[in-house]
Amino acid sequence: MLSFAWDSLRSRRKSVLLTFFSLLISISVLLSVEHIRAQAKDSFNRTVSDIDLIVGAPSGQLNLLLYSIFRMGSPTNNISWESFETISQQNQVEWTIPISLGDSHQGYRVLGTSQAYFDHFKYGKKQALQFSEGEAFNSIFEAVIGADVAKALGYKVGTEMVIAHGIGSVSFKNHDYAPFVVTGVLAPTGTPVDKTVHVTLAGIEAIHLAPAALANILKSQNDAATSASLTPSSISAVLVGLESKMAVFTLQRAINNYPQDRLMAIMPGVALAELWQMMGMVENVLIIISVLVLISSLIGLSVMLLSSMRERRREIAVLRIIGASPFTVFSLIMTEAMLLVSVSVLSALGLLSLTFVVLNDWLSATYGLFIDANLMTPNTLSIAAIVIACSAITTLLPAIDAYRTALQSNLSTES
Amino acid sequence: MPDHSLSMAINVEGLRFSYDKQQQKQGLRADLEIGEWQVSAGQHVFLRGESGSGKSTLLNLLAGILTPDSGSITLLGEPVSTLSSRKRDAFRAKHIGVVYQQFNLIPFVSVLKNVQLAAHFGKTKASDVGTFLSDLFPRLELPIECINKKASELSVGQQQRVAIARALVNNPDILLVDEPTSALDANARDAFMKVLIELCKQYNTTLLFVSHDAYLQSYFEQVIDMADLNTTSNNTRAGATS
Repeated sequence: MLSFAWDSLRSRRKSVLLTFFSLLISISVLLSVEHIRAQAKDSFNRTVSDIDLIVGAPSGQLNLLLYSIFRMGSPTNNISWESFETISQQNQVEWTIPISLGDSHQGYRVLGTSQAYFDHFKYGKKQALQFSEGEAFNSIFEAVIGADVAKALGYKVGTEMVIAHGIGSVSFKNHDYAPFVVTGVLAPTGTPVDKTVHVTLAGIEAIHLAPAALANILKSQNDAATSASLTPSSISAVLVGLESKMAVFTLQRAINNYPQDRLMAIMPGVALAELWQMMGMVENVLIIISVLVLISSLIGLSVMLLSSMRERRREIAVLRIIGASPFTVFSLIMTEAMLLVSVSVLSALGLLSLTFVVLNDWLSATYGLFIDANLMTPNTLSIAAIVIACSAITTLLPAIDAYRTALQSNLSTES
Repeated sequence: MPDHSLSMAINVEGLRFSYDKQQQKQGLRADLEIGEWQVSAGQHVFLRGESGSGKSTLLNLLAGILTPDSGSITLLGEPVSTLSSRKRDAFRAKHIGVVYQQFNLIPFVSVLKNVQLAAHFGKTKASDVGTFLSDLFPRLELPIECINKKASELSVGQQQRVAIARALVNNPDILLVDEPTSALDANARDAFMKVLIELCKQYNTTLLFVSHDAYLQSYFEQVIDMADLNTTSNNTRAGATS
């Protein structure tokens, strides 16, 4: 039966092939939209963990979340160093991580921070950062790089690098006088951390000094006094961990009403929820479009089978006289359609896996999306099952038509 | 079961059939009416009739693809016309072989698969098909290599001979043949007829051969005119004019 259905499909190669491509495209679109949606949500949600508040200059809470955690966009404004110190000294605060953004190295964002980053920053399911090589920086011109940076640029512990101002991958204003030395490489996290170069806050300050001042500092490196003189006057944002989660609302309100500086505190979870709400519309539109595309190609499948019915009248008559029941003819058409759809689904899965493997780096570099190339999630599999079920329903029409033809077929096909 | 029905391959009683069921209800003439007709097992019967005389309809009824509006058809003692459609299909697959005018084979599969498919429905083992064909093909003057060719690659004459093989694969009791030679030239026709009669004798198959070609009736022991069989007034007239 199966091999007969296969031969039957092969005999109508052209229309079958076209239908196959139409199915392949629509199933791929549906699966990729769904997969990217699920994966994006997953990858965004795993990026930040155990951070209770993010404090930055007032803008939108999404904007603050995007630049402080996802390294997307640029900080609109900075907050003063004094504000950072004030926040750190609050009773409820367990730890703070200062963040200073705005520079890049070969297209990778440079993040000025402190030792606290390596102690307290967590991702995924409260996983701490780990070093695959080396250790954290401890002087001005030292850097710790993310796994992807190390891999892409071939950097190891000891490599010297130059940091450019601005965030483009090509900058004409290289801070050539201030080479940084890699002291550590972080283990892969599957978050934007992998794409980041971490340096000290003092280092960020130093490269923005006038050349003469910079030369001075380079001469007297690692001097306690110079380190002190390089304390930044402002930073981009602060990540805050609290001793008790209960205090989060009180502290948020206190920070938002802080009289000495204009500050805004956000809860990452709330901001993410707002992000999803915004994305929800787009998601739904995408899903509706891909479902419509799928429906149209299922109709195409049905039309292909229906229009083949005229030429198959004889074929069905032959099957009938050798003893096939109308039901056998019915199930033959169903088998053909199911065969075609299953092959399309499998090809779509293969095609998408391949595409995601190839595009993985580009997606994560450009959009901060970390997409797992493994499509065999319960989610995709259940969509594949739904697609097959839907095509079974649409195939009923031509199959019933074939059943009728089989009932009425007789030997007098002399015409 | 009465004895005579065993030796009867075909037994038709009070058969009435119309394609237009509305016409049937109104009690107007039917397309086919047969009072009583029997064919004993192993007989070779030539059924002569012009086109439109109802012979194809009769074959469809005998094959169980159509069912009579009234009356009964008993084949090999089995009341075929009262069986469920599923049982009728199974009965046809196992006991009846059919060869008709043209397009007997499914064009896109190999000759072997065509025959295997018939064997599948007739519950004959697919593995037996190979030996069956290699025995039969030389006698049908078909080269054995063509079993792996697609049916559409054969000539019409070859296709018709493959159709005989296909019809015989389940060792049927009744062979229904409808104008099988109309697409063949004279030489091919004679060769076809000879091998058909020979095989029916060998397999002890009841043969019902339908044609308008009176020339072919010399191959048969019994000849029936469709016009005599079908008692519909319309067809009696058609028979009279011919």
